[in-house]
Amino acid sequence: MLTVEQLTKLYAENSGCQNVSLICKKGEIHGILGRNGSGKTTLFRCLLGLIMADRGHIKIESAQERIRRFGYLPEERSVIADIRVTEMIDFFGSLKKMSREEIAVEKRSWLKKLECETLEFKRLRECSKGNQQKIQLICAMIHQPDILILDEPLTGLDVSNVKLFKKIIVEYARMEKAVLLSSHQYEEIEPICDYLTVLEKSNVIIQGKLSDIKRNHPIKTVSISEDAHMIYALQKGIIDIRQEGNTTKYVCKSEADAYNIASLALKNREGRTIKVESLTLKDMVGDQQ
Amino acid sequence: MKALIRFSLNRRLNNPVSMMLYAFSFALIAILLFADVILNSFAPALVNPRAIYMNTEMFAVLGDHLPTHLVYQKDKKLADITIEVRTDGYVVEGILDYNEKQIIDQLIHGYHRIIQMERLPDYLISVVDQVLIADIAWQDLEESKTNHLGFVVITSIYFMLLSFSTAVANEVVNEKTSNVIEVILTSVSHKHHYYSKLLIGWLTMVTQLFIHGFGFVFWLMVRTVYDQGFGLLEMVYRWGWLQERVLSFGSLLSSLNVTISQGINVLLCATFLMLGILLVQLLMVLISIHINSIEEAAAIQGPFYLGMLVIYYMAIFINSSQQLNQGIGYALSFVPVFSMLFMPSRLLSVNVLTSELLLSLFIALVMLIFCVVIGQEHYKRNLLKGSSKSSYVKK
Repeated sequence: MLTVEQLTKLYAENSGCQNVSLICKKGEIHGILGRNGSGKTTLFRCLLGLIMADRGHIKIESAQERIRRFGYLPEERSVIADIRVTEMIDFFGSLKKMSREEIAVEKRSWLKKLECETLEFKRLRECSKGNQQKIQLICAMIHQPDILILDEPLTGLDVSNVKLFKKIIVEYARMEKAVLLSSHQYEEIEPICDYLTVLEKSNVIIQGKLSDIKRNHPIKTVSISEDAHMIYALQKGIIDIRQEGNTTKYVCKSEADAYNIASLALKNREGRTIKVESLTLKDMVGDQQ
Repeated sequence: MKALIRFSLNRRLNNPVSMMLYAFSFALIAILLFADVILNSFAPALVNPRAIYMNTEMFAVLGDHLPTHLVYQKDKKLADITIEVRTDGYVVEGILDYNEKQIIDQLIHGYHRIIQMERLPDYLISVVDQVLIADIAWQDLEESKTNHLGFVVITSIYFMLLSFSTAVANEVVNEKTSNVIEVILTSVSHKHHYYSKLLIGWLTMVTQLFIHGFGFVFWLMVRTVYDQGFGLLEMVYRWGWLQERVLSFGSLLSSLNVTISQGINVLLCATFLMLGILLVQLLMVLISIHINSIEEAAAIQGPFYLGMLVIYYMAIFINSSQQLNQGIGYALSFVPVFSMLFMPSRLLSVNVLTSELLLSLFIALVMLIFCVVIGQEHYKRNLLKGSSKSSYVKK
């Protein structure tokens, strides 16, 4: 388990992270969200010991050897382009003090899981961006760290690889591991995150269990299909209207307003699909920021 | 740290380019040690001495003065070059290059002078002697020889220093620009990364010397089994690169008369070289952590190379016994960085007191330790500076 208390690292005013506290338990996926420059990477670097925090505490409960506790996938591509995939995995495995046998077994297993066995003897510069990302993920996970930190793991991946990465991350967390991840693709990470911390200008602005945050958020949406003319636009309590093709999404101030529009729509249903939902993570974070 | 060193050494030493270099070096050593055998099949004239014919009277006078690449041939028909003495002068036949022409010209002039002087009455001989022969005393021959050696040593040390130091510095730049450094530092502390970089450069140098040294020893043994090096030494002697004729590598070694003090001098030169390499490498690494892109590398490392070049040229210019014994060369042989070139230069050119030597070594060592300790903190503070997404602006 990872506990962070009042962690502060400031480079300049509103640059870095300030008084960040969070808990990431075994088996949980904790999303760290925020705009560029909100302090996500600084937080990760402090956790990894790459930079010293100005103040605050980091507590790690792990039976693993210190060197093996963390696995890290940085946002930027960080591969040694002229070496082979197998050499890079071996190198990062040996840095974590894994034995050759251990590395060989884990390497085979992870290459298979990430569907890239054929890349083993290719040079990294010959691999696509997505495949390089896969290899980096293997390097971060090969020693099975108790805490896995993934900085924008889904950036630059195609749809099928995003799906694969999400599956791997969820499976990894299920192995009683703590996963911290940041992403700009809110809609992609929403289904896999258990907890959430949203940073804005170095400070935490939203934090908690994702389901609680969504449930407790007053703003709800009503999506009505075949409503190209936005016929409920003049109803009270609507604060925003978004159109996606023939479907209109009414963003309402309260749950009561949303149900009011939904009941009106139900009376005049005529084959329409009507959905009353909480705000999506994307809307919610965007709303706060 | 061990994994980092092993990986880095493996990358440097076990790659196609290095393999090609080893193969090339191995082949080159073989070619050099069997140069006589190879040349004999392509250009025997370069290896074998040329036969020269002259009459017996002339040979009696010139026999001892014949250059090493010419041998006397009694049979005129078998000779490459013939000298015929006539009443009105001398006739030389054969294919000669400019240098050979000069040599034979001098030989004939010498012979002619001796023969003509023998015919003169005694009272005239001393007069003619004074007119024709200038009395020259060559007193600085030894001095010029040692300076030449100093130049060779300085140049070798300088290029070894730069090539090995640059390799490590470039590795740091590569790790920074590819962002790999960030991931490495999650497993290795800054301190270990720092020390591993210093060790890697030094170990690379030692390993490469060992690899090339192995090639040399291997071919030397082959040549020893073949003919004790006789053919090669004969060729070298004929070319005038050896002062005395020796018949084997063993006799060559004993003819060098290497004394214990000379051996110690070589070891001390190597010690200064090692200290110098470590210090220059350390400075290069500390400079390189400020480089954030390949483009910046030249701009930041450039002035350092220029500085090194200035030291090199200083060592070349300040290379006379006087300057090395009491002038600026003497002072610089105690100054770290400079001492790695100036002290070996002094050791090979002039007599250095043991106390001076120990003092210079001590200063160089203290400076190295000081830089290593100070550099560690500098390395920690700046290694991630300028890497992607870092905004290392202090509060």
